Amino acid sequence: MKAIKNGGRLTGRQVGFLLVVPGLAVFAAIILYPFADAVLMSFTDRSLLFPTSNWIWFENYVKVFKDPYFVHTLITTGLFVVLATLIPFTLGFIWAILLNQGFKGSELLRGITLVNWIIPGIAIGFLWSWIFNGQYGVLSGMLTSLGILDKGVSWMGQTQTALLCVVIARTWQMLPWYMAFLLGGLQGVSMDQIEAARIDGAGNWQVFTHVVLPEMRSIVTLVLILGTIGNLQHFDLPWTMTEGGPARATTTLSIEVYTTAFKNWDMGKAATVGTIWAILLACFSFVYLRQVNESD
Amino acid sequence: MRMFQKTLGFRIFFWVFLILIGGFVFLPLLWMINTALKPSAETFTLTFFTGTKTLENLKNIVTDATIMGYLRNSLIVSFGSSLMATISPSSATGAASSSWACS
Repeated sequence: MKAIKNGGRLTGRQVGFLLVVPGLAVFAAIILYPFADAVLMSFTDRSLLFPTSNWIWFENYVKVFKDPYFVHTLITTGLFVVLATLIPFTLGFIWAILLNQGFKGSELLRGITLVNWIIPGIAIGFLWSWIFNGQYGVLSGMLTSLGILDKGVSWMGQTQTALLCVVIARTWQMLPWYMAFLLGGLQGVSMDQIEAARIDGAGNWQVFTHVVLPEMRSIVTLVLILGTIGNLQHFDLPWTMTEGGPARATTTLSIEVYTTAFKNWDMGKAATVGTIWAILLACFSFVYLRQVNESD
Repeated sequence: MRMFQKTLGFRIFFWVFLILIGGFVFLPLLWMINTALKPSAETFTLTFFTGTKTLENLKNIVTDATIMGYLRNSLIVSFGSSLMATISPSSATGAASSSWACS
């Protein structure tokens, strides 16, 4: 009995444990419980149409992996994640480089750029579905009056361009976020090193590839991983713009979970897709955590 | 000192992307404001800040009790969730970083 030996006082370890308990309780109640519940649900045939459900082991998983649409959903998700991460990253990086040059009004531009990121996703979805609309859309309207198109094209209504429309809207939404991170990174690059490189005869391109990029390596990796995770989770834009259509062309994992659960009422299958989705996300989170630990 | 020297190549790069990205970022924003200022009959016309302007839409929203109720709900949700995420010890970092990443 250790506690009795030191006069009934708690040891440092015990105090530490007591301090962690409330945090762990909150974590268990609001994160662990729903998560475990969803994973357990993926092994049942629970449906909102029936009051009872049965334990069916891996039947849902077999069903999901045999579903020819599921592979298509995975490909769409992958395509969306890659495009919606790399395009805003590249444009945001260029935009950060321009604003970092410190011309007149660059601070103001930096501030207004962030407005895009503050606008709610739903509003951005409606703004861009309006731009891409076939009958009264701004894009079709402008292209028609320029004589490039004979009549309006429903950009979100055809399978070839629908995903691209969502990616463009997502780019518009996330560009400021990448810009803010990368601008911070650019300002952290040592000017002494750049000056030294210049004296050695380096041009702009060499300064960029040999001094700026290596110094920004950790922030670039971080932003790309966070962007990938964010896009894997993303729901608002594809939902408000196309609801996953046309012909499932914009159905990503998040849309798939939503429609399976709340349109087809198949909670078991939705939980299965959700669990697979969570495993995918966990892989990227693992890479993220390792990166954060490395850069500390 | 600036990070990049103003060579001809950099100047071209600078202006091309200033106009392209600037247009991409700000035109939809301006179009949204432009539409907000149009009378409802002209909503679907392609005029850009040239037609008749009105503050009618704004007035309708500010005086609409239902929408103001939605605004109150949004404020409660956002302040409430930020507060809870900040004071609850373990989930604080998780909640903060996830809202940072996904919004």
